Amino acid sequence: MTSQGERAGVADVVRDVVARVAPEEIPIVDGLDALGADTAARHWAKAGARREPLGFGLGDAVVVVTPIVWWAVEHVAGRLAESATDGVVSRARRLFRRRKAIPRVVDLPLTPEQLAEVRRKALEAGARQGLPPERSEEIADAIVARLALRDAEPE
Amino acid sequence: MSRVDERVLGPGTTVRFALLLVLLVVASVAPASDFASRTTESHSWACALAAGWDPDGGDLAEMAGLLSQPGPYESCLARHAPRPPWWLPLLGPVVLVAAATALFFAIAAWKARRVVPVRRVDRDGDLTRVLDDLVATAGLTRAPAFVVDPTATSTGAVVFGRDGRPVVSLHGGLLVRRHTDPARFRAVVLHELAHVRNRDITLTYATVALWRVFLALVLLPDTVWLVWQLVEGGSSPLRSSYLPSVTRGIVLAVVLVLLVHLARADVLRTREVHADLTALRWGADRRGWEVADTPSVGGAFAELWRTHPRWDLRRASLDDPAPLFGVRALPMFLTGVGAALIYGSAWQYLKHYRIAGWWADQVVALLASALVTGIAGIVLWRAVAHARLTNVDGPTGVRAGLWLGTGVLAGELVGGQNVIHSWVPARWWFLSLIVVAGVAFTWWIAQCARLWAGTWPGRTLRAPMLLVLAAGWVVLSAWFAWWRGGGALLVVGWPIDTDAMVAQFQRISPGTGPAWLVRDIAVAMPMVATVSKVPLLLVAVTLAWAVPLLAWTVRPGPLRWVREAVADAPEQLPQPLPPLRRVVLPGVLGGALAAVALLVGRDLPELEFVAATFVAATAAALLAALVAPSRHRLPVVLAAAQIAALCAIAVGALVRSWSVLSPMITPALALAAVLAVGIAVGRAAARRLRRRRSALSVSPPPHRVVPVRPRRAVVAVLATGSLLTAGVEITADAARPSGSLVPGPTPTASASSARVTRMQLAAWSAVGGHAILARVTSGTTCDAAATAARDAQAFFRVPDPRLRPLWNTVVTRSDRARTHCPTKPEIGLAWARAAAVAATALRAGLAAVHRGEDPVTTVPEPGDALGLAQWADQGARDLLSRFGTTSRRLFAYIDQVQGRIEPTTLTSHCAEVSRVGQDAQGFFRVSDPGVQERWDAFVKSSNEAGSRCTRSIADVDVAALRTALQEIQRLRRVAVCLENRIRGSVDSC
Repeated sequence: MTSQGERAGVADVVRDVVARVAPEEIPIVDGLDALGADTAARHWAKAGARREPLGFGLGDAVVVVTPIVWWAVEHVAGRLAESATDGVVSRARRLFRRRKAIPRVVDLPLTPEQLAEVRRKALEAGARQGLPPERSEEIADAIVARLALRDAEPE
Repeated sequence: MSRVDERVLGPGTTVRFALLLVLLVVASVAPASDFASRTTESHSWACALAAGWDPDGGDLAEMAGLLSQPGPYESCLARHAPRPPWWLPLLGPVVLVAAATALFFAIAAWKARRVVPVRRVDRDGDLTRVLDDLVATAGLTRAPAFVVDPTATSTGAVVFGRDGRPVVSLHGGLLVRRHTDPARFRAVVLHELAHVRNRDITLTYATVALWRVFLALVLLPDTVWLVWQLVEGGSSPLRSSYLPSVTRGIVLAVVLVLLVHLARADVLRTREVHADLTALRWGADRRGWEVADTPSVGGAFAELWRTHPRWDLRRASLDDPAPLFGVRALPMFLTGVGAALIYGSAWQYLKHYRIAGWWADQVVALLASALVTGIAGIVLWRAVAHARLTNVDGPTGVRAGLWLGTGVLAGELVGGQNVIHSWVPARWWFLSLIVVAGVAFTWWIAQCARLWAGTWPGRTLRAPMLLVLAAGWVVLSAWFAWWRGGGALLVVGWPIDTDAMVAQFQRISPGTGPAWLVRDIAVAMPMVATVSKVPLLLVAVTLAWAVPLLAWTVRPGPLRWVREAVADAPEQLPQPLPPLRRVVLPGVLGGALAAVALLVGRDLPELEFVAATFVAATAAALLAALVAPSRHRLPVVLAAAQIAALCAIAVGALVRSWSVLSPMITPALALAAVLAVGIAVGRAAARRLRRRRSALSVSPPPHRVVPVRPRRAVVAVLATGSLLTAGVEITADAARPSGSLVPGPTPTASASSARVTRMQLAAWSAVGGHAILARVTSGTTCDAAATAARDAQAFFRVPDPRLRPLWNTVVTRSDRARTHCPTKPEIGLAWARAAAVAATALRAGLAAVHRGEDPVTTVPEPGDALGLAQWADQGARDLLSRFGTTSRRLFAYIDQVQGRIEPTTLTSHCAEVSRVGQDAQGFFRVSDPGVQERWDAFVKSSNEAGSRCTRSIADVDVAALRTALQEIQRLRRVAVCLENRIRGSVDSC
């Protein structure tokens, strides 16, 4: 369905969006990119403040935008990959969802429905993180804008 | 005044980590041993039952029973419950440490998977520059590796790896805030670098790794096994006796979990505050700690489990590090529990493999007490130093000691010390002595710390602290080593009958003193032995008073360490000490009074003189303790009492000799020390009461400059004298044969229930009794009879007292078969047949008990009555001849010495007479009724006369001795008459 479209890396899309809405979080995106999508996704689940011996102690969670953007973009990349290979194999694979490789690219352009879904996911994630609705909308709009604007893709 | 430097003394957290590590390693020995034992089926319970153990009889009866037949019990265990080789249990710690080491590195590798190097996120190199600056600020010679954890959203950081290769992981959130909140960034990074500088990393992760491995490999499997035993063992008839130990095992597992978690969290919290203060010293901004606490559920209880103190507490510590100098109850309690478990576990292993001895106990005690002294001692020293710096009353050490002692007590109970199958020891109230000892120890440490902190002119208190802690280490180890023996004696009781001990004492040293004194000494003997056998006891006593006395030898000068700890503190002059002569004189005068008493009584018999010296030494100590000065009360009173006791002993040794007094020297000096502590407590309590009534405080005497050289000479002479005494006694004790005065225990008479008796007899038959009786019954050759005799003699006596005469007959007759066989095989075989008859009767008796009937217990005659000539040939002639020789020797000795009887020699002659009588018991019957009647009377009388003779010497009863000798003289005539009858004379005797 996107045979004539272009492919954008998940990390690249996230970096573009974060650069617009929370540029101070760019080192986080760089770090996640370096860590690899799989490792990053595994640890996101346990992300947040950790009680560790020899740590500084529990502090405020200040990284809020990157997880939302990463999660929304990864979600749409995953859904697209799934719909492309829907069938018995993918259903069986869903049973072992945790083992499934995290998609690293998003096939562009997205349909309006897909864009709407990404926006909805971003708003949901924002609400979960406790962001004010305006800030969530700003982030969601930035994601949609990035995914819709093919000319914004980096080389 | 500026803030007190928290580094005035070491934080003492390393030794607290060490306690956890040692505890886990030592605690893995017992489970490893258990697992190894489970590979073979163990029937130790059957051996115990065969030895006469009554599961309903209590620990003391069990000990008495097992101790009364140590040989058979040991060989039964070797056959039916073999111990794994000694090295096998030690594999537990080896495997544990190896697995923990692997996990230690795996944790670092695991943490490294979620991080990326800083350069990957540092596009412009600015972050690296800032970090380099901070490393330079911290003065670290080698920069740690910096990495970023992008999935961590908070503004924190963590350090992992090991001290040699630390890795500081910066959380993603910290990088986000770096530009907007640089104070926080610096504070966090400097805090982590402080952990690197304070060398926290290896110890922390080593504890984590060791604990996880211990949990997985030791604690969980062991607990599952215990729970399974608890459930499965429900139908066992021995369930009631095993329930306490199995339950204790499960409670121990829970206690270990709590102890390790609480102790580790506590140490980590302390280390966090130290790292905060180090970061602050390096220029971190206090705003870095402006973090709002999340509301915690559970309040103070929840706080105990956290590895970081609450933010408000951390901020408060930045201004005033007082919490780092506090003496808190929890660490003291946990230290006590840990030390008791370490000592208990190590000692159990040694005991299991029969390695336990007084020196082995002492070495294990040194290990446990090193940890306790390191932890409690440093805490108290820090508290005393802080109190001195802030001009407040320091801790007395009493509260700390209460918690420490309670911890040791709890550890003893959970570890199952001094109990076999009971829930608590029979005389559990004596366990309170542990708490008393804990208080005495911490009180002493606190008093010493106060003494030195007020007089030490050096730049740091480290030297006097190490000196006092080294002394405290030896003192505490002596206590632990004594408690293993003396404590057991108090809380369990003494399984040996006092009368038997008095008899034994009199047998070994007959006629040495009046009966009341002999009795008192025999009663005190077990306790005296537990005191005398602690190798380092006298060294500990000496150190307890001599080390504080060293403070008098220091040249007085301003306390420089105060200026080092608080930058702008005014110069502090040393605290005046009471004059040394006021400490020494009471001791010397007390000793002089005792010396006068001993000179008056110099002609007393030996035992009485030894007792008099003991009383004089302790009385002198008591007197000196009562009049010694009250400043620095405990060490001063201890010194005065010891000087007095030493003076008294020295005079006693000059009047008689050192070797005569040697057995009472250690007990006397130990008692003097205990009395001194008691007097010091009493005087302190009285002073407290007085102070409460009148608020008037006594001002210290004005400071005078006293020449220090004479003081040094006096202290050197006193300490050397005391240490020499300790050295001589240690050497003398090593040369003294161990346990020469401890008699074989007498089993306490127990009336077991019919059910228990059946179990005991079944076990007795199963572990070898049945086989031995079969061998005795079928022993038709001399070789077979000899083997059966040896086996029977080395085996348990039959547990049912009703059947015991039968068993004794089997043993006696088969032994006679064995002794006669080489020279007179026909007599030997006759005895073998007689033994078989008895064995058959015993088997019938066992079967009857098994059926629940009353057994027939009559001892069968050793065959048909013999003709006179045959009877004589079978051994009667030999016995009569032996009696003649023995009694002749006895009277020849009496004639020879002409009234100057040596009691020991005479006793051995009397015992020989008894022995002939015993050997003649149960002999073949003779067909001549007249001879048989005379023979029976002769055997009975010779037994009694021999015993009466022995007893009269012990009692120094001349009249009784004369009667006994007359009886032996009469029996000589009877023996001659019987010999004549054998030769064919028909004269009546």
